[in-house]
Amino acid sequence: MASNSDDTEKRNGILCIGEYGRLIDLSKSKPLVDLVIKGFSSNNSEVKQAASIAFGNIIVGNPQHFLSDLFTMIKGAAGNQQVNFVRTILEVVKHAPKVLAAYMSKGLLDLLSSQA
Amino acid sequence: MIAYNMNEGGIFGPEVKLQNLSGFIDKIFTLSNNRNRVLQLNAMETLEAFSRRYPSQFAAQAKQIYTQLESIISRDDIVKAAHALAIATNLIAKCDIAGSEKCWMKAAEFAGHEGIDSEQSTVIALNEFFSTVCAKKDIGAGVINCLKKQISLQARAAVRGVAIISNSKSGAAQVAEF
Repeated sequence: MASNSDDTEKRNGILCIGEYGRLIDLSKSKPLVDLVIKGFSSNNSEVKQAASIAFGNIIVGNPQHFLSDLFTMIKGAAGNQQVNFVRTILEVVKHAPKVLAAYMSKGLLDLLSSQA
Repeated sequence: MIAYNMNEGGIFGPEVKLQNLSGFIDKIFTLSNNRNRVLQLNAMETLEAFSRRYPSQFAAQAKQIYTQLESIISRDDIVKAAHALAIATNLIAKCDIAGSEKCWMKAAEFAGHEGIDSEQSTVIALNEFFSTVCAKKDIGAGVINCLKKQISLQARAAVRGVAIISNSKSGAAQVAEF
């Protein structure tokens, strides 16, 4: 659960940015995307989860731009942090599955099999 | 016959032009409360098809229809609520929007339902509804606040509603404060 109202606001804001990013390409709105990415390092599990979902939605808005960022982040993350990105990939699979095909051999299968 | 009729005013005229459809409104809403659920849904689907193809025939009764739809847009029956949202969307798009304000609030309350995400047609109906309202009029702060209050990791329709409003000219400024 979100521990306080500040975390709840953060969670809600991040989710909204994500949905907005699905409608509009946010590749030129770095501050908004950075807000979402910052959520991955939150101590609050709901904020983290919101960031995972939101980043997936942002990727759907411009897969070519953001998918490479995602896999860079996955490679740089510690093993126990990689689980956060599974939810991100789930959102992409839900809304734009075809864009992931090119990444099957570039780390996607490794991530999924390590988290299975 | 309905299936053969094209959109009113389209390039191709209807095969058979249906007239005086507004005379069926009361009967359709009576059927929508029938004990038989199939009849209820058929009645709602019929009004949705009529209002999509012949919206101008319902222009004079739009307010009355909005009032009837308000009570159907609820968490009690997701499928019926989706039909009601689609009917309201058709009318708002082509008729006077006045009188539909309560439908906006009911839609915002409905968006907090966690079961909506698994019903694709309901998700589409809600998205279309908010897009259509935003294209026509400033959506009130009350509706935005209602959506904001219901945001959670599970109630994704509420988040989507805020995103749609923020993507509209009228709602962008109000959501920006959030």
